[in-house]
Amino acid sequence: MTKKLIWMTFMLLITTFFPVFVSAAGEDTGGSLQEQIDALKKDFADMKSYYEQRIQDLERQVNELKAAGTAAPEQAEEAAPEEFTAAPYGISPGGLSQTTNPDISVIGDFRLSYDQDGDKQFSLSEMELSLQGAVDPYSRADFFTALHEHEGNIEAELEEGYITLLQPPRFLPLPRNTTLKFGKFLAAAGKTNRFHPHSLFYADRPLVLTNLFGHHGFAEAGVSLSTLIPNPADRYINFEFEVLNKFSEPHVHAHSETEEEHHEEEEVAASQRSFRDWVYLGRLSTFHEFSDNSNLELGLTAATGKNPSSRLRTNIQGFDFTYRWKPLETALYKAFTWQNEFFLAQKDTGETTNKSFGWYSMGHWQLDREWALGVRYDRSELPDHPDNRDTGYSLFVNFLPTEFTRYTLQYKHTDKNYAEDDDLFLFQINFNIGTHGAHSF
Amino acid sequence: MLKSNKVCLTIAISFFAFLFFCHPVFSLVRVVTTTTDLAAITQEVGKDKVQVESLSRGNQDPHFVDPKPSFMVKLQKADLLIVVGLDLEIGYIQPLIDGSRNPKIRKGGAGYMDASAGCEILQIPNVKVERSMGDIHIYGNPHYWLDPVNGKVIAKNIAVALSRVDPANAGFYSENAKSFGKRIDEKLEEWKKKLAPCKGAEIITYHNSWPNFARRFGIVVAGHVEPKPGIPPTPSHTVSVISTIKEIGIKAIVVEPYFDKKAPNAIASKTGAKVLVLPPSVGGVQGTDDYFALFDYIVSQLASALGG
Repeated sequence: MTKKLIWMTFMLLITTFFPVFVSAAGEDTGGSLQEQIDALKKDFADMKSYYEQRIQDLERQVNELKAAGTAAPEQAEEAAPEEFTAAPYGISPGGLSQTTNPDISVIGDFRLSYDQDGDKQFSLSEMELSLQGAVDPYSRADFFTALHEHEGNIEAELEEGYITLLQPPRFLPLPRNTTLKFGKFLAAAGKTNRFHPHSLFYADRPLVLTNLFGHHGFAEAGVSLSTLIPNPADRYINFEFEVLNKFSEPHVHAHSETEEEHHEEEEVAASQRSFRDWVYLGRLSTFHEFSDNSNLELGLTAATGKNPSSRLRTNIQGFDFTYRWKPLETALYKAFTWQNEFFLAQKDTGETTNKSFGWYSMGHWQLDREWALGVRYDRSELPDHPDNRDTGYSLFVNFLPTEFTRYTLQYKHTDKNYAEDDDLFLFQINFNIGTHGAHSF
Repeated sequence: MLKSNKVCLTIAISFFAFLFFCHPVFSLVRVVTTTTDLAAITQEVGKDKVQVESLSRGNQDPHFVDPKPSFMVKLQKADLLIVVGLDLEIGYIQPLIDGSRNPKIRKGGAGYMDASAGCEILQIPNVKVERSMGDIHIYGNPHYWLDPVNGKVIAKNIAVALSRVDPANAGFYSENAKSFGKRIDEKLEEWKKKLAPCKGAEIITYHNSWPNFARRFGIVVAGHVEPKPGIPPTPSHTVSVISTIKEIGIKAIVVEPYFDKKAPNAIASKTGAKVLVLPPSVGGVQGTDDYFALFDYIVSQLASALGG
């Protein structure tokens, strides 16, 4: 078996690189050395005259432009604040330092929380450091690391770190409109799983997502393929396919009532796991514009994989839709978003299959430039105990003085049919310094 | 069996025929611009050889455009993407370029064009910029298209970029850019004449969108309704604007269509200055359907507000 595999790999390498060897050998057969030097000399002379011509052209253009610039009246210049100058052809020092570094940004998440147990505390719940930039003309890289405070300890986490190939390498027989992602990333499991907490309107994650994947979302190492499906209507139809190590699971506390026996078991070592144990995830999403002002986004998700601990299968199906209303002219002041996600999880326990259903519906109104109001309804059966159900009611107010700070005041009541209800008041300040890459829609 | 094969074949043929006829604009150069102004100038340069579309609308704040997924599809088919540059599109263009999976329009590609090259750019900071100063653009003020002389440079740049992606019509594009430049020169005289009585007149603008326009036509921007670029009006700043207007005797407060009129109206009612809604972009208000009409509108509105 192994021998066969090595033989096949060898053959594959030979067939892939054979044309390269042939072409490299072909280039060596030139004329005599003197001929080559003469040819080079001629090329150089041509190049020189070409560039001289171009430099002259450019000089002429610069002079023309200068002439045009000086034609403008003088007095307007004086109106500019002192630290600015009208230097048309310079590069600013700030600009220069920004050009070679990746975009660096730090996001802080400060919280004051108060729950019904009387626990009230300040916390800097997260510091996210992100480094983003183009690697080369074919790819870009994104790193998001986070420091969390967890029960008094500071935990460092690599939230995401991946390279995106903006077009597939030539040797792969994939459509050219495909992008590939390698690394650890937030999986395409529904709409909000991929968003970092600071780009959500609320301070927590929806219950259905935390019950399925934990508080930090479904982030795993793997491979992702994303392709735009061409269609005659020129509609956005995107298909994503991901292969990941395993499902992220909620972090279960030692004394928690929801503790499941198999969480106590050791995770099955990676060497014992086969490719059948990986998580395979597909997502199809589409976007429809009713007008410039309103649109609808639809998504279908399906994932299958084995639980890291039990080696039993879990299947997850999801559906999501987001309706947005945002009149372009008053976009800074008025908007409405209605977002919904539904998940069905089937978790094999050996004896039976636990079917759990969860969903949330969120409405968010931008009331004016700085204020926004939102509500969210959550309903989620616990994946390991489908009879246990969380129902959440959240109300939140955002204050957004600029696009770099967001204040959120949130009240959340969680109705549990298996335990005491939960009440939580939360005040959060999200703040950002540095250059954070533009978010996707 | 045979019958079903025939049906399949018919369906396949009609599907491909459908795909074929779906593209009547097959031979046109497909250009996507981020703003309507660039689209208007591209239309002047490319005429019937190009199909132009702008991602943002004229009545929309060009700093805050949502990267809608539908834009990726538009960009996937584009031969040329033209941007204003100077970080104006920093909030949305990168995910769109990457999401389009179109290598031609990536930065450095033949199909990517930054219109600001060679334009007169004002207010380039020569100190370290901090966000405490508001949304300062480190490469200079991006509203440079509001100087018609820069419009000529933009047209030239567009002709070069179009020739790059469609070399067969290079002569056509450069001719059109030249004649566009000539028309600008003629109109510029007319616009200057109209605004001559207002030379040196001072105005307040909501956002810092007008330095290039003001410099070209000899108007002075004495202050902004925003305390700092991109920062919404505050009561204390509004008070200081009111006192500035009273002190100097400013007649007009210029507001872009996409800003709230509350603060400007309040200032106007306290001072007697007039609120002028002026579009910085083509299509921002009715009757500004091309680059010339835009300046016609701005100039005539300003002349009547400041001249009297």
